[in-house]
Amino acid sequence: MKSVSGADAVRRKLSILDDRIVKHVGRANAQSGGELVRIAKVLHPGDGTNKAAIHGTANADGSYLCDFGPKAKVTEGKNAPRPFVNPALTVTRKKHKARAARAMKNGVKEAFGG
Amino acid sequence: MADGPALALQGALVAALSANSAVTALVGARVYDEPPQAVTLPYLRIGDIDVQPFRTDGGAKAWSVIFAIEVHSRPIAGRVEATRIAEAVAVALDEQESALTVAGHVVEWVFHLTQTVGREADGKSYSAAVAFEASLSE
Repeated sequence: MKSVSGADAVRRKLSILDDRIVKHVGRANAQSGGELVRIAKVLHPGDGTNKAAIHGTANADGSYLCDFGPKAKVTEGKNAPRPFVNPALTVTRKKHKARAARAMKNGVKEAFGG
Repeated sequence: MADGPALALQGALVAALSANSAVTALVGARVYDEPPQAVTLPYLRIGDIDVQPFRTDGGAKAWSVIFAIEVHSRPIAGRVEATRIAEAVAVALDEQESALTVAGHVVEWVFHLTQTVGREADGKSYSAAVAFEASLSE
């Protein structure tokens, strides 16, 4: 029986890959989510109480939950006042995609020591 | 004590919008922080200003600012007036760092993010929010 030299090192790197990806992409998601929440807040037509209900939560799996508050559906609806969620998403989408891709690349780089 | 970035920017926005001929042609001198009780439409109001400090090396201070200018139009003028004013506001401030004199601060950059126009609760008049992002330093 013959062992393959180098496989252990690769396996070790692969084993930490998930962790590094979650770390980097999670950080990027939190930054992007925070940005989305800030823009949504300034676009929201409601008063301070409704704006305060807009908030974000970073999850352990690296995702970021943006909660646009109980009035989000009303203000986003067809027959109601100003929409704010979709304009905020539209303006940030490209930037957030690029940030996530960069984070993914950094995660792989860190795991493989590049 | 000198004003912080939010208050200093607020003053600069009122001054810059009041000095812009395309904006004043549409709203006159009615650019407010808090509009008076019996306000004449259309008018502009400084909306939310969200300030977050940047992490910087050394002692230099800098802030990321996201802010909105609210547009309130006349009931009879429909969506067109609100949109027209919103567009004039966007042109007046987008990449116009030199137009913004923020006391005690330097405007590194300012750009138009997005805008949204919608019907007010009265079902007749329209309002808009024009959002910008800026970077200020000491």
